[in-house]
Amino acid sequence: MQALGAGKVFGLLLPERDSSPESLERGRALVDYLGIDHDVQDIAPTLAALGCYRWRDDAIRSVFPHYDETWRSKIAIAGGDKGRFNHFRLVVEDPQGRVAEQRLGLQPYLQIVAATNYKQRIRKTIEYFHADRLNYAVVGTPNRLEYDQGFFVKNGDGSADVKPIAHLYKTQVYALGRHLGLPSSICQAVPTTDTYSLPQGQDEFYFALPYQQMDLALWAYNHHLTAAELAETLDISVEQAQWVFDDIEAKRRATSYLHQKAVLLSSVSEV
Amino acid sequence: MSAVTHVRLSAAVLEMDEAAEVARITTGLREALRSKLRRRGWSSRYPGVSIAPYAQALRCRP
Repeated sequence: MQALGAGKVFGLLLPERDSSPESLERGRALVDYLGIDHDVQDIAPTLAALGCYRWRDDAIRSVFPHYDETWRSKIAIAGGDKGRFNHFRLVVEDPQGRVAEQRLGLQPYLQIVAATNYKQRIRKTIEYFHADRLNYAVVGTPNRLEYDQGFFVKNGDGSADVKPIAHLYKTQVYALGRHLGLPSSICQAVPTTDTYSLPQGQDEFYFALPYQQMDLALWAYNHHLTAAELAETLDISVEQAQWVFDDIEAKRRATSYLHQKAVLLSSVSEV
Repeated sequence: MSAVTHVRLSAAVLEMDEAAEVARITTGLREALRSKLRRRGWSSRYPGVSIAPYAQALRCRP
């Protein structure tokens, strides 16, 4: 906004059925603070028409047959922080508040993720509609932790014309927010996926540690520090620190395709 | 033996000059929009549509 002026920035608030009300409140606080034009569009009807919720719920029912729309759900990562292969667990909560969880097999996992990825991709479609309409560029806001570790949906939130803070660790993004005087509700917000109906921190969904520690682990890995040095700083065992390093590398490998352009079978050198 | 033994790992390694970083991002974003995206064909994204309004919005020459 400082780079372009408030009159040349357009904001979009795109809640859906599983969005936290606080996300919309923080979005409104931000556009009010910036003084930019914006639009609010509930994307739940679009997602429902595409079958996003139905595909997701069908996959959940293959694991918990009694699950219905009155229940809440999320998936949570496990394994990588303990030196094992990463896998996902499905967590559900019935209307009485009873929680159950079970390890996800490959097919329901893929279907749940594919269905929920509709959310990020529909949002991006709407962003590009407005960018085309206004002849604007789409700005993406991954931080370094998310960009490096592949914490984004290809052709969803991972798509943008420019990503101006991808080089900054998440800790630094929070520091910039405080420096710019953004509303405290934003500067103090706990990062979540805001994708599943049960509350879900980013670390629970994807990262091995809370972001303050993950930032340090990624910095240490990038600067070739040893697991012993990371362990001493984070007050964890050397073995655990090595698992975190291994997990960073595993996620880089597993998500490298998200960064790649489409493969051509023969070069087209003219473009 | 780590390659950065002179730096003790702590939250301090992530500290930065926020004002300088804001200036860097501001400059970089303007440059990206004025130059880099144009070089990637922004002006010809829609044949017959001029980049002029876009460039004007950024106060730079089309």
